[in-house]
Parts: sequence; structure tokens; C-alpha cells
Amino acid sequence: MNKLSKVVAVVGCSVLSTACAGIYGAPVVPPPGFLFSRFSAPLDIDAQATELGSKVGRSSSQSILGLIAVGDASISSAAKAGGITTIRHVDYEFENLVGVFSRFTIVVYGD
Amino acid sequence: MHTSWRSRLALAALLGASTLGCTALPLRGPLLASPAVRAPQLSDTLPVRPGVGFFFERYSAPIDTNVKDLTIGPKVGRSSVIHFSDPIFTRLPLVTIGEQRRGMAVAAAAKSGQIDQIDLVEIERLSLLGIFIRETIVVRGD
Repeated sequence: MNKLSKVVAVVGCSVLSTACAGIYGAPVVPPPGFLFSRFSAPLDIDAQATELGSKVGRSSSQSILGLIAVGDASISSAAKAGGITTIRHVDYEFENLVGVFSRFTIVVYGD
Repeated sequence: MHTSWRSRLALAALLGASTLGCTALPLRGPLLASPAVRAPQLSDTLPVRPGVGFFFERYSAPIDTNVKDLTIGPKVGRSSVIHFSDPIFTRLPLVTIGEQRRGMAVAAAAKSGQIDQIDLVEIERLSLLGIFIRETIVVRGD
């Protein structure tokens, strides 16, 4: 019984941590994978008549176990990283590995 | 006997920490307060939230995602609000104050950066255990 309670507690912690680490917010969220996710989706949903431009810039924020979240996932820093002065469109990329590690990356397209 | 008791305590603490972490989200943990009594934070309503950290959060994220053909101006203005919350029982904001009596309005941030035309609005969030939270509006423009 003692072992069983430990196993239940550990599994519960893992599930809760996974749930926390795998959760983020965005206008468009594809169905996430419990074990592994890696996808991109639009952040700017007004893409009508958009020319993406020639440059791409990225900036990201990481979360570990849903306990620590650090990084700069701002549009301005992504534009700066890509040397972009005029922003045409913004997407994001999301990676999640069993809730242990997740990364949210802003991808800016422009000139 | 002591080891067993300690391991149970550690597991309970870990489970509690995970649950508390989830209460920082729209998906709240089952053990704690209802949304009605939880401290409302700007990050709850943001279109973009890049991650969650129960122990520590420090990230920047966009608020305005409509950025088609946007050129970001050189000026930057900031305005912040600081929360001190009860992290365990009620999650009520015990103290919420705007830095320099300005609060967290876009207009206040633009004024602090002497910005006449706003191009982009973002947020910087710093959270220590959910007890101390600073949310800063960052306005960029000309």
C-alpha cells in the first residue's frame, strides 16, 4: 500500500507538472501531444494579402517542469534578432517534451 | 520510520506545488480557491502566454498580435503594477500598487517613454512563487 501510494503520488505529480508545463496561450492552438509536441501556428491571424518578406527572426521562452519559466518571447526582440525593421507577419513554434521541457518561440517575418 | 515520513511529506509537497502551479493558469488546481477569489492578473487575459513557472517566471510576450506591415519606432515606455498575494489559502491580492502612482495603462507607459504614436505593446512578467508579481506594459513607438 505504501508503495502504491508513492507511485500514485509520483504519477499525479508528473501529470500535473506535465499539464502545467505544456500549457501556454495563443490565438490559435493546435491539439497538443501529451508525450511530445512540436508544431507552429499563426500568432497574427490577419494574414490576408500578406507578403512575408525576406528576413526571419526568432526569440523564445523556456519552461522547465512548469516550475521555472524564463525567456524573451517578444515580437520586438525577435525582429531585432532577425534584423527586421518592418514586420509583415508573426507565427509561433511550440515544443513540449513530456512536460519536462517546453519552448515557445516567436517567429517574425519581414524586411 | 523517519525516512518514510519524510518521503511522504516530500511527495505531498511536490504534489501541492504542482497543484499550486496549475492554479496560476486558467486551468486551476482542485485544491485551492475558486477563480472568484483569486488575484486577477493581466497575464490571465493575454493573447500570448509563453509558459508557466510556479517557482519563477521572467518572460516577455506580445499583447498586440496584429502587426502587419509594422515598423517599430525607437522609443520605449514602461509602466508597472506590483502584486503581493497570499499564495496558499486564498490567492487574494493583499497589496496591488502601480509604480510611481501610474498603474499599468498603455497611456501611462507611452507617457513615460514620451511616445506620441504607439506601434507595439508587449508585457514583461516577473513572478516569485506567485507571492511577488510584477507586470510591466512595454510600449514601443515614435
